[in-house]
Amino acid sequence: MSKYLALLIAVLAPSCSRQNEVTPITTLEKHSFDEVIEQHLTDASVWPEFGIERANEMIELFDMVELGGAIGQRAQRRVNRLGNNEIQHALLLIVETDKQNTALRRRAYTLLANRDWQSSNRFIPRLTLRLKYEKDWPSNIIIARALANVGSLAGLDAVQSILLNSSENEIDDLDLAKSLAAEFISEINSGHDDFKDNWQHLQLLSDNWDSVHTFQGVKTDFNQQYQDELWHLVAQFRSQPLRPVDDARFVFIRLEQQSMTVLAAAASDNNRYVRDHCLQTLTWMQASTQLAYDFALEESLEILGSDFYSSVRAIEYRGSLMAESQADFLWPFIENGNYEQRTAAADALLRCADYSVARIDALLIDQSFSPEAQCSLLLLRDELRGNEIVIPQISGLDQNELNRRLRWQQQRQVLAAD
Amino acid sequence: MRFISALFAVLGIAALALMLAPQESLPATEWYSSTQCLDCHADVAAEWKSSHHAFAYENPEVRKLSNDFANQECIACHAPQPVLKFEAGERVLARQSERGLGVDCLACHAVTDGGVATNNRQANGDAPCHPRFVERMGSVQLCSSCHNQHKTVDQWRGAPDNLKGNNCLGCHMPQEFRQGGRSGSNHAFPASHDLVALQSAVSLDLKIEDGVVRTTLTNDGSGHNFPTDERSRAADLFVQYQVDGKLGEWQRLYRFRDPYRDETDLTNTQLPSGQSMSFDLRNDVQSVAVRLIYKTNPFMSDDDGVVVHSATLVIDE
Repeated sequence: MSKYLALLIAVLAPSCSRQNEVTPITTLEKHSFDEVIEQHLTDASVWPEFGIERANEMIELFDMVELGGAIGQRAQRRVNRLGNNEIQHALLLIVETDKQNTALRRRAYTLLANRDWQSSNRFIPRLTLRLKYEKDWPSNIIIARALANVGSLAGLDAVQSILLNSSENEIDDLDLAKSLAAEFISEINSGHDDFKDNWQHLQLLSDNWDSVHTFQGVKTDFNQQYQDELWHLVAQFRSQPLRPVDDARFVFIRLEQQSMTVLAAAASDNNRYVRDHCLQTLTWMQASTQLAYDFALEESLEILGSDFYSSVRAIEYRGSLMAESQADFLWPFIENGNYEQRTAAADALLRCADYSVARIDALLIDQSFSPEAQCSLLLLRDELRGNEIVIPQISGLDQNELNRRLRWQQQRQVLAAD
Repeated sequence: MRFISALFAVLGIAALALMLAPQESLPATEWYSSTQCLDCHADVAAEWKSSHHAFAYENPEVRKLSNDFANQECIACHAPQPVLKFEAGERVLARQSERGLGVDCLACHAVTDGGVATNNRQANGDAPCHPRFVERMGSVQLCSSCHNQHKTVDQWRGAPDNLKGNNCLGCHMPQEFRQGGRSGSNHAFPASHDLVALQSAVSLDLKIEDGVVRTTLTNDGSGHNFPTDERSRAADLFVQYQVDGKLGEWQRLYRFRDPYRDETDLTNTQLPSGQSMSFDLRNDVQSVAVRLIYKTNPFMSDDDGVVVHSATLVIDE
């Protein structure tokens, strides 16, 4: 009899366990969003339309001004008739187009740095992008100076790298670059001539810029033309080739604080790539995007969190705010989300949750998390326990992915220590 | 006793019926991890594991060129969400989970409703993963989401018809017979890491024509440039002369490569599909040898590259 029973159980057991393995698909909605970018681009101003030849003529005009005398005066009168947009576009065209003539590029950067642009600052994003592509080190210092004049400290990284670089490296004009950098850090420290003092001041400015993207010395004028430029920039997120996308991300993460409001608004655009890259860029900027959250995202994140295409990015962004208040928004995703949502939620919780250890332990009973999610939850548990970090040994977890999560845990500790 | 036996027989039959019942009676499984595919498709998985798709996220060369993925734009194609989640030809976005699996099963086969797509028109829909034929699976559109980032698919579109083959699949997923006699598309994706595939892509010729010693490289086997892929690949053609009984150094004749965008002093020297390039060589020597070395990154030493073709011509015996 018992033999029959055992046979019956053996026969029935597999079919029962198969039923249990079936996971219901989490329902997400394909929300409809507005054409946010198009609405802004309809009336947005654009750069003047002329090519490199006209740009070269313009820079010759500036050269003639410096000759002085009658020729100089005549050239100056012609320069005076040019608008700021024309001049900026010409100088930017030169530095974007002429790869061979370093001297000419330096000259164009210097003109951008030395001129008083008043509130004409729409060149900031285009000039910021030069930090990605300009290989001439002295030019990078001039870019940093031009940007600082209009309230952007995006070039400080380049200044620090150059000052920290040992002269053993074979870099053209490194000494010139170092001397320009030393001049620049004195300039932004009210002309002090003590290098050590200037260096410390630079570090403070740099840390502040990295965390809140503001420069107390000069405030960037958030005027309409500048905003138009940002809308053109965020439109690059729609591109099929990745290069324009990466260029736009590069620039946005280096812009002053108010620029984040454009990203926050565009995060509800009807183009899924735009939504994705806006949230991704804000995520990379971490806590410095609090303004973006306050500005627009607090309300839209709920919709984005249930959007078929944007949910994972929205979850990830919540984590990057590193605010405990986000944890309760994340919890439903880790309990009921799909595989990707659960990974994103586990990562996000690692960055912000302050739950009881027991609550995380209960989650960890579930074996169906991705290796990445398991790693985040284990690190979170260690963190909550106050234990020394034990590097999780998880099958299928890439080393790079482990490192990212260890970095998040360290950031959390730094934030707690502050 | 007979009643109990009968009861167990009925229960046993019921249990068997339950086990054998068509899978449609169960709700569709969510296919969330490629590890779920391995049990039923071990042979295909073994092919895939040997491919550079499987290696896409962990490949040290990729890590180096992407600065350990600090260039996060690279992640999208090296650990993508399912391609079919995107419009045809549109680029993919990065996934969150199991990145170490690189371009995995679900990257190409998962459809948005949780099902599985195949290029097989006779797919067995009763299989546990309910595969169904999806036209895009056999089209260049599927590959272009990633492989056109570096213009390979555009190159294919401009290739001569006789070299276009059966889309990307003809060369990169040839039909294979697997154990048990079943045939299927090769999931090892033979390409630039496969010597046979490289050798079939181009031919190298060395001969005397009208008294001139000439070597010619012809892209007569691939439906895209050689080497394709912006930036990362290079193919170097070398020559070596024998004079007075002594073999000279190998000298580089030409580099076939599309440079990085910031290498402004270089131009694109890839060899388009169907085209040839010839080089006149010295004829005042005893012998000439040429060889073509393929490099999976342009900074690789000659010794680390792969000799694709070589040829020797004795001029003065």
